[in-house]
Amino acid sequence: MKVNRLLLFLAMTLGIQLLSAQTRTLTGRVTQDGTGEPLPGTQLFVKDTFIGTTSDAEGYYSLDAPPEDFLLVVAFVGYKTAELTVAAGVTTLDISMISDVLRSEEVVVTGLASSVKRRNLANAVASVSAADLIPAPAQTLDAALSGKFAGITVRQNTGAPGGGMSVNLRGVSTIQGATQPLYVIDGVIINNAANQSGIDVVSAAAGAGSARPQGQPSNRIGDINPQDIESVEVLKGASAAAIYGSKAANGVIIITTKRGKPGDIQFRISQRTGATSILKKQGHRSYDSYADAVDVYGADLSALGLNQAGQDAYATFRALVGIDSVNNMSTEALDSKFKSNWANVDIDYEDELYGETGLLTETNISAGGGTVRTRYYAAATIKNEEGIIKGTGYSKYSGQLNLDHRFSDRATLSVSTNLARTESDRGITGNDNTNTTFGFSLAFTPSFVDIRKDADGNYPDHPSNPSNPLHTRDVLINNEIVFRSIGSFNFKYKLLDNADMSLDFVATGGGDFYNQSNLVHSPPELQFERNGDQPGQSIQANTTSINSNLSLSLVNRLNMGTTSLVTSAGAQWETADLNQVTVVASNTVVTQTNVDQAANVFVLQSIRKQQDRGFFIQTEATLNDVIYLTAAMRADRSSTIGDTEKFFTFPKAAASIRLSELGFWEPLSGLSDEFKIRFAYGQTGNLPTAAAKFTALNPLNIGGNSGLVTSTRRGDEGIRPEITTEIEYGIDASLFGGFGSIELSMFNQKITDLLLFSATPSSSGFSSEVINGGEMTVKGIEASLNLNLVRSSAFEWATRINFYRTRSVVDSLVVDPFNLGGFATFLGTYRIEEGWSPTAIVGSETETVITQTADGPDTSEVHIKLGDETPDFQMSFNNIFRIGPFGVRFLLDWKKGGDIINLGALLTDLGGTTADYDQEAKFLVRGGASDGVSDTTYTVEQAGPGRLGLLGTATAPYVGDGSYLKLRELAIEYNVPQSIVGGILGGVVDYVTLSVTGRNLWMMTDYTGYDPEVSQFGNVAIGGSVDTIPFPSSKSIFFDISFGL
Amino acid sequence: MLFKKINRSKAAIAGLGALVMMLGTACEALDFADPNSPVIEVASVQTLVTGAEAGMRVSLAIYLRDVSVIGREAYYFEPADPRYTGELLRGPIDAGGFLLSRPWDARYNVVKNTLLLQEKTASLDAAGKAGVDGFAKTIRAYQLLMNLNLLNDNGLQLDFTGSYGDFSTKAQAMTEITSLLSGGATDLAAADSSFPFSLSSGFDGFDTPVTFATFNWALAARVAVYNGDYSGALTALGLSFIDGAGDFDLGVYHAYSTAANDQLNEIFESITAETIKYFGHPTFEADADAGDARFAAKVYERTASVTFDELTTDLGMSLVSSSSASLPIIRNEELILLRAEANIGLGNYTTAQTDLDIIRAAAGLASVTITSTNALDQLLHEKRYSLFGEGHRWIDMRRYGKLADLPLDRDGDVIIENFPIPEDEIREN
Repeated sequence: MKVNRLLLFLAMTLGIQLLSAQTRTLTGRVTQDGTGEPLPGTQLFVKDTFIGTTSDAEGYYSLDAPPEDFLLVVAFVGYKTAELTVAAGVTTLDISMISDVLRSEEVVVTGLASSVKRRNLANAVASVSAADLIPAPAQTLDAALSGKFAGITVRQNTGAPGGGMSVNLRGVSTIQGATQPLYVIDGVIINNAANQSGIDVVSAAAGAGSARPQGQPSNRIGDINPQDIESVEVLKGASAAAIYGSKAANGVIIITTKRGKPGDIQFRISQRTGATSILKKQGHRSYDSYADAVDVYGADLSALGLNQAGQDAYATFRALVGIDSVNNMSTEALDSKFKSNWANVDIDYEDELYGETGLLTETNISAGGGTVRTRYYAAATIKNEEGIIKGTGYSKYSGQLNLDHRFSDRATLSVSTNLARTESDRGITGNDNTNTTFGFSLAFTPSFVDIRKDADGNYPDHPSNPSNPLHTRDVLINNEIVFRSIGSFNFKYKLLDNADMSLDFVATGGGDFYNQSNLVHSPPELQFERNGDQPGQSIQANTTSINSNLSLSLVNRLNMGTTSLVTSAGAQWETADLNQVTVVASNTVVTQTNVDQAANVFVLQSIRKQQDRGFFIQTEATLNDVIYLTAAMRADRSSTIGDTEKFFTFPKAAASIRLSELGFWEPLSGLSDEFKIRFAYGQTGNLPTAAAKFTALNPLNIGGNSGLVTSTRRGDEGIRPEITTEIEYGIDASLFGGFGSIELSMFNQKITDLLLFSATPSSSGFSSEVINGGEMTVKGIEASLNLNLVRSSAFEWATRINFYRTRSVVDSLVVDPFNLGGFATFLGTYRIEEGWSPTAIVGSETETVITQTADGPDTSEVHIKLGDETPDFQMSFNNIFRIGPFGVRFLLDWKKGGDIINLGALLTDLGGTTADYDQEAKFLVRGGASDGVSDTTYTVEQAGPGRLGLLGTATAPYVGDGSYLKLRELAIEYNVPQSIVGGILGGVVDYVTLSVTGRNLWMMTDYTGYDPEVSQFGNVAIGGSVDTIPFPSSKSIFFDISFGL
Repeated sequence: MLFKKINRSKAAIAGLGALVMMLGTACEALDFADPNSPVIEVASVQTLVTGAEAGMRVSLAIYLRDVSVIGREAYYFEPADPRYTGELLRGPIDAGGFLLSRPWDARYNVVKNTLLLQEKTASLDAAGKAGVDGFAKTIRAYQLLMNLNLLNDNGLQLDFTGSYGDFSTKAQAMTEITSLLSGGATDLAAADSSFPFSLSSGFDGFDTPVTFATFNWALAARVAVYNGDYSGALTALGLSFIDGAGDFDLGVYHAYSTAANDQLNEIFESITAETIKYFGHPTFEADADAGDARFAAKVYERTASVTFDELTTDLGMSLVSSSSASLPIIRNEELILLRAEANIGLGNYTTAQTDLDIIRAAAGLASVTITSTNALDQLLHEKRYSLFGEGHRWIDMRRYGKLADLPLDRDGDVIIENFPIPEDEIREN
């Protein structure tokens, strides 16, 4: 041990700390190496002291420095941290910062209480800072993550205001388990539930309290204000997330909110105003005259032009998806109704319904500052966004207050609090059994009928659909209000602290509380209510959720010369409670939404209670800053597991080596001055739902007596978590000095003990049971290329390209192969079968397979794969340009492949309103023929009837390619030159930036629905990509002025 | 090393602290109960009895539509589902379809409840236990009979463990049902004067072991007639609540109400509704005797005839007067007809004549003299009109091999004889 050297270092450190009160003022300017651009906000401080400052908007700084020689540390995110010796007597020092293409100085969280610099990191941990997170405003946090990282797929389930998004890390890794990553904000595990709003009851798409809700509910991560976020770090796979144990199988998203920096108070104010409109219309079939309409529809308008096959298909579809009948009107009556509603013009109902230009406003104010001892950050956001459908919209009021205090050299406390209120009006969209949603209604609204409000202000009854969507839009309420409060603390106490060794006690904890109120009111005057048995429905759902967690840990650091060893150990307590009460009232009193003013009421309550306990130990060794080794183990037990006493252990091991630091690399350093190879192994779990271990008794009453019947699903008292084991390896390399960098990762996940709902014979009284069984493999590759293509003071161009692909395959199943998701096999469903991708889509098409067995040939009908939800690959291109005071950045997001079951097209075909209904089309139908395998190409004069005619034989015409290229973000900004800014209000203003930003401004896709990003069933692992006409997606553009004081 | 010496005590405290924290996570009990529903351990005899009674109504409407449509008593015009006019009239029945699986699953769900119920009698004395067993066996027999009515020659699953056991034959199933009923009757005879639970209004007059036993024997009589055991049927009828001079509607019912978590009678459709789905088969009008009061009571003529899927009728159903009206499980009118049927089976035409005359007189019709040649057809005619819509026609005609006598409305229509074994009862591999 080089004790002498350590002691010397100690003495030096102490010496610096014992400096006299005398000071000198050191001034200078911090600029970017190469371009000479100023770097505002750079942190400068005297090493190992509290003496520090921050550079101003022009990069200038002024520091009260000690008179002797000292080490000046200069740090700025995205640049290599510099340590400069400042000799006695020096009073000016300009500093040039070198860009850090691999962000090797960035500190990455690797454990519950420890972190490591990125240059040593042994996992591919993606992270994004505030500037990159929301260059263009996003309504919700998950929307802002779209296209940002390799390996992260964000899918918008619906375009409805308030969100409803699915975030997937590294492909499909479960079949019926939980799918969403764990979100941790400043140490608090937050609730990201998608709570059923009650709109399902009106559309009858699913019953209240359904285990498989539709209606595409918003998920609660949407309450988090992207403006408050300093950085987002994503632990994508089990090897990185193992330390989070049994809840981390879907990865972990660690969010850190903004905190104050030492210095004078800094105000940042931005005001945005923008507009939103529909991204893409589907189009419709149009007619010139009533005669023309009768001509193409046929005189019998009641059938809406469907041939027998089409009518049969429609009836079967309605049985499964369950659309109630249009009144049994005679042909003559219907014909006359159509005539009386004849519009004389070709009405674009998409324009009528989805054609609004919504006004968007957002105000952000933040103030931060403090001393090195106490720092504060306070921020407020007011956001109001109208939707593209009249009456829909979103608003958010959010306040953040973060405080950091250093009690002494030993003790520090950080506190974060957030209060938010969000409100959304979401309309009624998506799947439907009553033909009341906007999409279903428009599908059955030919452009020649006029259902618009008449001169007297009345809405005509819809002649070919049970509801008039324009009337529904104007009076139906689907409102959601959430109050949320998140608070957390982080307390650190140095039990021991000297140059060789330190021992920290770290306590982190907090709570996340929200109350979500949903009101769905379908007034009795609506066409479909008037004609119903119990006109008028008022559904009120109230959900209260409280999550809390506490972790206590000890972190020991040992410095042994060039080797450092960090060992942490601790324990974690987590609770999650959710209570939802839904009151469904029907036959309501006119004008009243009160649930007590109704003839019929029923009430549902659902409680979720979960308690988890865990402990962990982790050791990290850094040798010579070249080799990094880590090993960790987490042990968890949970109330959701059958055996609540049992600890499940989740190990982890990882290593990285910076080859570029080794002697042999010298000749290659021109090519890459930073080159690391890494390898990581880890395990995580996916917990069963809280109800999985229970065999419930369901209430069923008769004659006022309360009775119980056994549930049709048998629980498993021995249920275990699904286990994911991952191996990940890769390289991180800089290219040609600061020119660029590449990060490349491969991973292989093995998922065992899959959580499945297995069918059981009903003669047992149960129709399904929860089991652990089966195995799955997920393989993938992720690559990120960063290039600083042009770097000069006049012009900069940097680009970041992400590429990733994943492949999942079901290795074994303990149950019969089964179809999952969708509505019925002939309407497209997913197939879970050994050797198949779990996201493979099948339909009616089968082929005969003959296998030779000992007993002779065995013939069987097997499903033909029609597509796969998993895309071939995904890529994103992020480009940043800077030309003098102008900055331009845009993000292109490309998904290649990935199929969607497009039942929206089926609906419009059934209604005879599809845009391409009359166009000639060709369909390839695979298998199908009873005489064996034969692919047939059908050429039809009319695409609509052609598709319908094949329904039952072929589902392929309704399976669409979901490839897309989207312009996710565009930002053009102008930094008003300091020469002008300096003159404003006597120099009070630090900076002024004007910008134009846009989100989802452009999309290129062959998909005929509104958006290839769609999921009727929300955040399910299997069966998401089913399109039953959601709320159409929108594009938005903002004008933004922001300034600092 | 130096630092170790200096800080040994502090390090020891820290290490101890870490250990305490880890152990702290291990102690607390996390095995709390399901917050959303009670566990079987706490379910009382009463809640399971009520659950079984309530569960008997689940998907009953689908069962009644199934057997009434196949028995050509009714049509169900469901624009949202062509299977009622397709599959049921044209076949084949989908082994995975809801027309079979919904009633099948619901009946076995009740069977499960009756099994659980018998496990909950530990706290009862022998007489109390006998009452529970008698109830459980009787209800289980009835539920199994309902499913056997559907599968018929395809048999029944009598292994309730979910282990994919072999199906029992129809004969084995009938034997099991008969033995459950007789075992139930024995238990009821050994029971107290009252049950240790209460029943809904559907069992008014049959809610003590003694009176419930008369319901048990009524079911036993139906089963005996199905088995062709006519003397056994007469014995059972003698112990049942049969009353030739009594109210035809005396009997046991499924009760419905608008109370919370209760069920509404799904058969009900308002006579004044613009559109209805459940219609009488046109032959019910064509074959009716002039002035048959039963015809007028059970159906009515709609203002216009309705054509759906090439089927036309104008007969609406007036069987059920409201959405909280009861549906019969078994009633006196059927028992009188069963007695007539048993006597015809034994060749006692004169005795049978008496019962058929009671039935016809109540319907305002003159007596029809029966002989060995017309007795069976006349009986089936009376059963058809007396028990219309109650789920008997198809089963009665099938028992006598007379399914071919049922009318076919369209080319390609067939009379289904048996429902297939449900898909989920057979393991694929």
